[in-house]
Amino acid sequence: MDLNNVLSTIIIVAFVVTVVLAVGSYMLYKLRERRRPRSNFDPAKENIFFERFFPKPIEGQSRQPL
Amino acid sequence: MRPGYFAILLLGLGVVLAALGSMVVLLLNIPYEFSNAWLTVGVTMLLFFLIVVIARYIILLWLGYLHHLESRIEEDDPLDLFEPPVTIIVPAYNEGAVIESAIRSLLALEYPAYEVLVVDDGSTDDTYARAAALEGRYGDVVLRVVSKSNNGKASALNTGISLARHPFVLCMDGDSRLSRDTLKASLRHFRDPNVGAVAGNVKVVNRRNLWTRLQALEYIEGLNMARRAQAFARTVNIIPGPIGIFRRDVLQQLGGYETDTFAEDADLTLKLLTAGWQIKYEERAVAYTEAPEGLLDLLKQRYRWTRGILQALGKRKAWLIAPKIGAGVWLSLNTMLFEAVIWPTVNVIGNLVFAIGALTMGIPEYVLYWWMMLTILDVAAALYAVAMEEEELMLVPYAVLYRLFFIVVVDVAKMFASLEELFKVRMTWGKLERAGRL
Repeated sequence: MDLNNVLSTIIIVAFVVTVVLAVGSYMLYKLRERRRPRSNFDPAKENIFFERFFPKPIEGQSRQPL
Repeated sequence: MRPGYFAILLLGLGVVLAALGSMVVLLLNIPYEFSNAWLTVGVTMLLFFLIVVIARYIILLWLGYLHHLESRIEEDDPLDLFEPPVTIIVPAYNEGAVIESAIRSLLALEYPAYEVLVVDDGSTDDTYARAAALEGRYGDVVLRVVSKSNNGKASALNTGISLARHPFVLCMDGDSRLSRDTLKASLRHFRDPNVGAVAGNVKVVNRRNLWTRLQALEYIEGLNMARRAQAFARTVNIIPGPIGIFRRDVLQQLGGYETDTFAEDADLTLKLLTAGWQIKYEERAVAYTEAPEGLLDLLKQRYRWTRGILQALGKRKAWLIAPKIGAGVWLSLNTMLFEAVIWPTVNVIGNLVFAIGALTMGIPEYVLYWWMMLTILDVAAALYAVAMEEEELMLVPYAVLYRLFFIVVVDVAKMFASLEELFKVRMTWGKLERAGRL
């Protein structure tokens, strides 16, 4: 087996193993998410606080607290 | 740009073109024997993959370089100062440990007059108390702190937009830091009345392990290179969550952030684009942010990004089909779909088909040549992108690992996320774990 074949075998094996590991990691991630306690918060159901705000002009400058 | 980096940039460009040429030569020399249908399908897919790779790199590099030149020309005009007052909106949820240092860094930006508005999103720790203790006026900079019930980042930003006192707003993450000339560099783009927003440059700050260094490279080579190219056409399709600068009245007209997708930043960007606003990119407006340090957190982030992008695109299906207000927006939306779904799928399946095909045809050495050229292409593109941003040259060698396994892992996650979005699998909400490195 020459060097080219060895290197290409390494690459093919590395690629296939990475794909397998990536699929495994993904399943692990899904498992972890499933085990976590679920939050009741669903932003899609929340009303968005959004109203037009008319700012007052900013007063003269000082280093005093607002 | 410093002369050394300019030379690296040219070198990177040269190697990219050489690698692309070699790929074409390699493909033309494969001993095609279309003895069965599977082989025909495999070779056709490979050719398609090659054309896509070449087209993608050429378009991204060329448009990115044009944008770079354009930025330098605009930057060199000292008579065109444009420094309107800005409100920086900082949504904060349980950031008690870092909120004081975050505020102090925001008070030290180089800009004539601006306001920092901290929106405490119902934190259960002492975030509000710590921030409120600093409230006040610091020269021409005003710090205000407001608190609201917990409704998520989008809601906190919407509250900030409503309460902002200035015509421009910078929306960021509570756990990000900005470069000192962020405002100066980005606000100048609003001289053009057609520009509705400017996307900033996100950089990974916690370059501590292999995963975060690979992400640092990915942000520079993958995300920013694409964003720079889109910016030349004024159609940036994602204003990143850690740094986006907007006209406040435009956000108010459009209804601000929405919470029906997992990528509120992508959704808002598409809202602006489809309303006819131009979006630019400013690479000197930098937000330093923490990237996930572990594999599972990285997968979680990419899963959410992919599904969020697909949800945002799903709300605008008609815009994907035919141009409504110009080819630029149509192209930008389709590019988004391509980068989120099509490209990762083609990358994984294309490489698998090639590897299996080369083995069954008895020409495994072609896999070696193919992989080497893709890697050379990635290394050259990394050189080019790193030089463009004058970043750490030590990131460039990571391009080898980037090609060998990082991009495969990320693309597999994107493929699954796309499938789950297609089949409407239920998603859960959750905050990414941060290590608190900032």
